Amino acid sequence: MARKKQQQKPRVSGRRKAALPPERRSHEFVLNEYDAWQERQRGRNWTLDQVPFYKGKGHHAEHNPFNWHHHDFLKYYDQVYGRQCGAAGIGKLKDVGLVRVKEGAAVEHPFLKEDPDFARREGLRKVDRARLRDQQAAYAENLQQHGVKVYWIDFPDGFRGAYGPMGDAHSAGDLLFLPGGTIVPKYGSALASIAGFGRPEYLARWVFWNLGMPPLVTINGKGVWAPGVFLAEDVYCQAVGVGTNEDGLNQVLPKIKSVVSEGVRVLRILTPGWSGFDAESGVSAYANNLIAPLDVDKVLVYPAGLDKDSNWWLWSNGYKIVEVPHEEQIRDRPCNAVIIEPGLVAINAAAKGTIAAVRKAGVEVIPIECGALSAGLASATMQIWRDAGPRKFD
Amino acid sequence: MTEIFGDEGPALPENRRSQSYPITEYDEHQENLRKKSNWSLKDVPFYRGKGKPQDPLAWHDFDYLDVYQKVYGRRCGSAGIGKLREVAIVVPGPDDEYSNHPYFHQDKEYMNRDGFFLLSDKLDIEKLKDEAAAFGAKFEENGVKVHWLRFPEKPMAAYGPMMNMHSAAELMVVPGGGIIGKKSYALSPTAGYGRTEYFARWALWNLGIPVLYTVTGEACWVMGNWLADDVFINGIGIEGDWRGLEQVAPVLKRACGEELQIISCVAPSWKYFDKHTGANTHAGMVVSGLDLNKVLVHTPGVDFNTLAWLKKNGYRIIEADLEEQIKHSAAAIVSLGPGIVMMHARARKTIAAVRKAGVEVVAIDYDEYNKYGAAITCATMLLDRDPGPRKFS
Repeated sequence: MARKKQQQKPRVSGRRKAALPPERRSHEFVLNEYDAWQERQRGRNWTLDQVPFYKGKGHHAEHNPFNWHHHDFLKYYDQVYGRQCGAAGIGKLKDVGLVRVKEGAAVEHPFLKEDPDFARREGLRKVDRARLRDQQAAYAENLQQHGVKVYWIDFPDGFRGAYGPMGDAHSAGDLLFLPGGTIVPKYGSALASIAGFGRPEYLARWVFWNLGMPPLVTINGKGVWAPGVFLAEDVYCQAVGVGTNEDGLNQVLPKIKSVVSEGVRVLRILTPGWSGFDAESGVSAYANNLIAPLDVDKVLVYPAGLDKDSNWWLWSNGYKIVEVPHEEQIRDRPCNAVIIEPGLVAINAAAKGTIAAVRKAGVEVIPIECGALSAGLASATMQIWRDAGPRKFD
Repeated sequence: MTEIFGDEGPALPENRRSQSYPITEYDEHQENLRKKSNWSLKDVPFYRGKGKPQDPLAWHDFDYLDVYQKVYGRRCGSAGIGKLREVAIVVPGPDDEYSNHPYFHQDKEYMNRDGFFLLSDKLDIEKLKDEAAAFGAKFEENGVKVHWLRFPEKPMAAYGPMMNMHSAAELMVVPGGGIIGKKSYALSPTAGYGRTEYFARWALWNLGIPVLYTVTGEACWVMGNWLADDVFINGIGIEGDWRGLEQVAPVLKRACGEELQIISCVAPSWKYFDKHTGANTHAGMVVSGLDLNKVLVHTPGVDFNTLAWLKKNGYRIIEADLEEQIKHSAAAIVSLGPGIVMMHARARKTIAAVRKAGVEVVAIDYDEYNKYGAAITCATMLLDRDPGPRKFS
């Protein structure tokens, strides 16, 4: 009787309302990778012999209870979540995510009408959806031809950020994938108002649910941070300026050292100016607009965007440096490139001078038409997983 | 082709899928945002108006806590003893019955090494279900919203079939999001690696509670307990070490204020739970906040420095009865608000002592779960509280 009475109490196990139509729901795989992994695990014949540190029946006294204090996260996370992830290096790119551009004519963002100068300065512009769809399809095809698996990410219709309709919803490169999970940024300059609060969080949620990869750090407090660029397994470049402050950097660096390597070298690029991307000078607050790996000892650089010490560090550590011409930096952002594997890189096809220089340096280039993107290939690409790649220093 | 759209392949039956609400709170928030048609730059912080110079540094002084609710559509966080608003409880199922677990059959002595399976070789699942239902009802009677959390059938952890899914407290939720800890002993083969992760994924998808931090490396950390909005007791022992605290402390301070005091309660023994002393390596099992200046403590489980700190800072200390601590985890409570707590009904002497100290007690019989060496504290994912009193600031 008591039990029956208890069951009449209101309970929350999900709203009892009808589900939303698919186009207004968060994108959910029919069978997500986490559940698929669980299903595979169920079919195994489990014994304690598969448990770390287990020494066998009757050997209880030999079980050191502190063994588990030496059990690194990297040893088990894929057993929990069902897959590996991480693009902390330049090894062969295996998995990426791209946001599927919606069909139909572009709807002009209300902020563009309200204050065009402000909106453009923040990086917002009208998107030619049809052209972007075509270019993105060709890009995906190219990636697949090079053995890269492409996940298509859907945003619900009419997606809203914290402060209004989302701009640049097709930019999937917000998250930094490290071994074991993601870093969720917190933007501090361009896009903060129109895409910075809402888009990365949607992507992180999509990744955790559909692929099973958790956030390792969500930048919080007054920290500001945007993803940097790996030049090798042991070299990470982080722009510091209006896009990343010291608080944000201090939240991320310990995690990189924890899951990548204690020995990773961090190149702090002290960026000039206070724009996300200055369309007149080409300087930027984001590393992926300023530097791109081409091979373990070759980099593509827009030197005017890097402080003297960063330029010095590259030269003194033996990098072959390919310089981006000023006019192409402004027009095409060629550094916003995606390395497929050491010595093979996808670059904006419009940056012909840059491409020629990169090829001359002995690096193979996949030219990608991407003029319809508001930023560049790296910003549009969620780089989920790479094979282990070369190290620069050992 | 290797394009993945996510709609390939047949779906699993519902009982073998992760629990997904028909309409998640995140999507409901998005639906509400869509109803607003007149978005304007006036809604954007720091926007100074058309043609006016903008401050490029403004966003550097903008706290995550000022925006996350707008992104996710809800407040979260239970970091203190303010009025409890929202919890999640796991619906018990047959997979919680440890005596059916293959490892329990294979080597019971090993499985019992950490102090679990305290009172019996068998769990009565139907009784546990009834107790969980009554537990939820008791929260609702006290104005707390209850989410019922479901695991799929036969959930799997990193090293085999999962058990004790019922410990929803493993996900600690602070203002702004959850923290995924890293266990290092208790039930490690069966629940230590996989359970918290399921909770975190569930909470982000269904409720829109993000993950602020995941503990990595070799560090160990499990949630502690709150004595006030500015006092956190963190357990150091077989389930949590200094390296774990070093990772989590900065996150707690950003979420709860730099003035947060973190007291490290160093546990005795190398067991999760000692059946003879009642000591427990989880701080929430041996120290609990009853009111701003009143604590319930199982002193044989708490190091001298922590006891001295409590004394010196003016806490009135109520001691749990030893036998009740051993049998019923008497010191493990759920704070419903300042001066009102939920306690295990069988801890009669301890309840009497707490009431004598002027604290209101909501008693709930949750006996079956004690067989896991666990308590109501463990069974409750604390999702949201009102701001509560602060001890020092």
